[in-house]
Amino acid sequence: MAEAPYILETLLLSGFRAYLEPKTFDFGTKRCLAVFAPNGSGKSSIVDALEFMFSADGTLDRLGVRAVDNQAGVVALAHNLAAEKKIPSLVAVRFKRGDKKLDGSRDAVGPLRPRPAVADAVTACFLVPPIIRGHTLRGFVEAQKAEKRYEEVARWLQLGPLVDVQRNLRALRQHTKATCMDRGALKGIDTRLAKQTANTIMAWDDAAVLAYANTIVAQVDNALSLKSLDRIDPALVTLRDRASVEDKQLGLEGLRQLRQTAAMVCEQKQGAVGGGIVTTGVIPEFELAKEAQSVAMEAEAAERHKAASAAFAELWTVAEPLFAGGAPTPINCPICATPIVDSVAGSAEGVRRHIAGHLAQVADYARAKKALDDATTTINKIHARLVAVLRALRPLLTDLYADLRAALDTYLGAVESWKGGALPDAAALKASLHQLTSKLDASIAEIQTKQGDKAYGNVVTKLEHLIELREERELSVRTLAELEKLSTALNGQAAFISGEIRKRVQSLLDTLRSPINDIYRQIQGTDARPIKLELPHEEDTTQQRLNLVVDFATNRKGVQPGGYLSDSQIHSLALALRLAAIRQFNTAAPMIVLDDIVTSYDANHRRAIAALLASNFTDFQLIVTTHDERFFHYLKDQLGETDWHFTRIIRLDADFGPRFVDHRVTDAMIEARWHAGESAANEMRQAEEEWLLQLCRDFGVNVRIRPVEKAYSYERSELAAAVEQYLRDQGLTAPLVPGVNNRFLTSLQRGAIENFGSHFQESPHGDGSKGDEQARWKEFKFFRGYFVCPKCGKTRFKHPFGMKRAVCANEGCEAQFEFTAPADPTS
Amino acid sequence: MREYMETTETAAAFLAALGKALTVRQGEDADLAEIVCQHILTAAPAASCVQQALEAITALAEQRASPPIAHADG
Repeated sequence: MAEAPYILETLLLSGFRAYLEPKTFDFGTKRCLAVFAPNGSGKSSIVDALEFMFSADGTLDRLGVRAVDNQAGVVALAHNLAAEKKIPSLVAVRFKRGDKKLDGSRDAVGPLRPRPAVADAVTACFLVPPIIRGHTLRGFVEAQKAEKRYEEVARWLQLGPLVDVQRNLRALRQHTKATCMDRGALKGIDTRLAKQTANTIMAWDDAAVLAYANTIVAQVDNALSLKSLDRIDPALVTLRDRASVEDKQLGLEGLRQLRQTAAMVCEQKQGAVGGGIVTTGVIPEFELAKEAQSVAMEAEAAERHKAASAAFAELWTVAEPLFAGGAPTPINCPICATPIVDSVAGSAEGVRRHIAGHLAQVADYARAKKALDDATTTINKIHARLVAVLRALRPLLTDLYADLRAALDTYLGAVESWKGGALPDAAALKASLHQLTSKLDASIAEIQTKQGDKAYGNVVTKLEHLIELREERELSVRTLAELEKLSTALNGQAAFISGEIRKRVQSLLDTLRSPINDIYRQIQGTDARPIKLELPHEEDTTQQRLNLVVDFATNRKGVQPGGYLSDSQIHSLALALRLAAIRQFNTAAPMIVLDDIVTSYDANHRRAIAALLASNFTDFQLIVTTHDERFFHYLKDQLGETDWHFTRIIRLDADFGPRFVDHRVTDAMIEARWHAGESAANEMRQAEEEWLLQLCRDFGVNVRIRPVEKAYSYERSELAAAVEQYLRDQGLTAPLVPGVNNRFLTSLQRGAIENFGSHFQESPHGDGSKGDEQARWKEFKFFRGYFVCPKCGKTRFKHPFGMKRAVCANEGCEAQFEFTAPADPTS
Repeated sequence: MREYMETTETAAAFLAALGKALTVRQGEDADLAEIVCQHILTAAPAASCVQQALEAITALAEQRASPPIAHADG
């Protein structure tokens, strides 16, 4: 058994669009609503609220999400005064589904604005968008492309997944074809080939590449030649074997390192001058240092003997100034008091010469000693360096150099244990090193001669690179060929899939054709030409299009409607499409929202649309807004009062929101404001206005016919004047309120009253406090209490034609109106 | 409501049946049909389903273009 449909029970707008103060639309007793209002009064905000509630992104189509591209952004959802007045900006709904009541609220501010669960559920039932705005109707028929229209209708038919399949399949075919045509990989291979052949070959050519490969082979062996650029070609196998042998030899770098280290130890080479043999390296340096040290030692020994009496050097140094030239000559020896003339020197001059001779001997010795010390330091440094170099050479000597390694070990051991005596014998090592460096020089020269293209390893590597390129290229060519086959196969499969989907879509389209034309004829008349929804011909590969065509005349069959139909016919066609689809597919949430849909129609067509709604959509919940008063009256004439609530917006107050003609502020609402600690001044003002307007209607007062630009509402002063005039004509005067001198009706006419809460005061304005509001409200209610039937206590009156005075509207009473003092002024 | 439920079910079921018909269709490339069914012919395709299908088709072409691997040990 099918579940009951979703029916909207209440819709609340608070701080949303034109609605500042909360406004609830109650669909509990009458599930359909028609709102008439002039432009700019807030009627479309009702439709906006529903669009917002059901939207995925929490916005309206015309607002978008961001304030760009002339869209106002989501900021425009909230009433501009809502934040300032601390009124929450939101839309709330209550849906009924069978016995269940489902509530949901959606904030109109903030970054998230999540959709409530009930709106999710209801939106899922809208296979066709239920909101139809008059200004968008033409688009479906005229502006929309066949592809877009196909998508939209297919989604109405619940064929969204099929549309996605067709779109994805089309994209896959295009991408696959593009991949087949892509020669990027082959071009890349050509680029690498040009680089490898030093731009000898710019594009792949088997013969040219083979010829180039053989030029490389010829550089190492003229006798070899490749038959094909293949890994198993005999010539390549031979080259690979030779390269393998080459790899096992010590590399050039290793040879260079060994030679360099051996030369650091000792090397004999041709001298630059005279052509003699020169020996360099640390061993000759060590030997030279030893010779220098020996010479220094001999010199030091000799000088040390001459300066044997050097122990007196200090004495001579002290005595020298005593006997210096120009100084007073001492007569006696300053130490032993022997007269100078009696000494061995015999005179002061003799003493001076004696001192100078000894000081010179001491200086020679000091120089010899320093030379010896320097020579010793030098040889020690060279010794350390020699040990280090010998140790560095040791690990470089492989088994190929076993003899040299043995000689090195012997010499190294002797050097390490050397304490400054005779030098270890280096002759054998030096001879071996000389042989080594000569041999290494020959090997290095040979390898260097074979460097570049002539080395087997390099040649094999180059050939293998060329073979890799060939293999890669062949793989790319084969892959493209396979892709081509797959692309062809994919086209075949896509055609099969598309054909099956086409049959499916067309069969469902056919179910829509009849109801669309029924509705279309109902609006446009029975002689209206039928509309057809057609897919492209079967052989057309672009199936995802939907043509909307009309047989306009016998010689104009299957033509686009835009070129032949009138403005109203196009509107009717679009409306018929949408309504038929909604009628057929939105049964789980049978709601239709129509916002100003009759702008293109004349009176007959408007009446026809009203009749259409009355006859075809009685089981739907309709919400209609219009600024067309005639259409509003047609609706009232044709739609049942049982299900429909008809109302008007009389004006838009910037600090309140739209004012409805049937809106009533109750006493309880005012009390609730005070209870919440809020001012009720606006509510009091509205309640008093509403009461005054109702009184005018009941009494049937005479009012001035309004100017055309102010046709929708009456000012308070006009109403107050009319009531007072009416009462005066009846010979009645409204009594004063006890304790207050001002008359309510008179105050209003003077226009001195801005705030209804202060109209009984001496001062034209109250102090605005809650207590002041309550006092004023009590006074007003007392005044209102005078307008009560003296007989039955009812508050509604009527003034039937021909009667002198108004009577109670209660049919069982009909007592004549007259003022009676209220029994309970607060009642 | 009944119509809605039926059409919803039918869209997914229709695609499933269509996929089955495609794979067993005489003369069709079965590997390709499998790729199309897996990535495209589904009621809930991935956002990158076209790219995934293209990669699968390219991989299939490469696989078919590659020479068979010779095993030395037989």
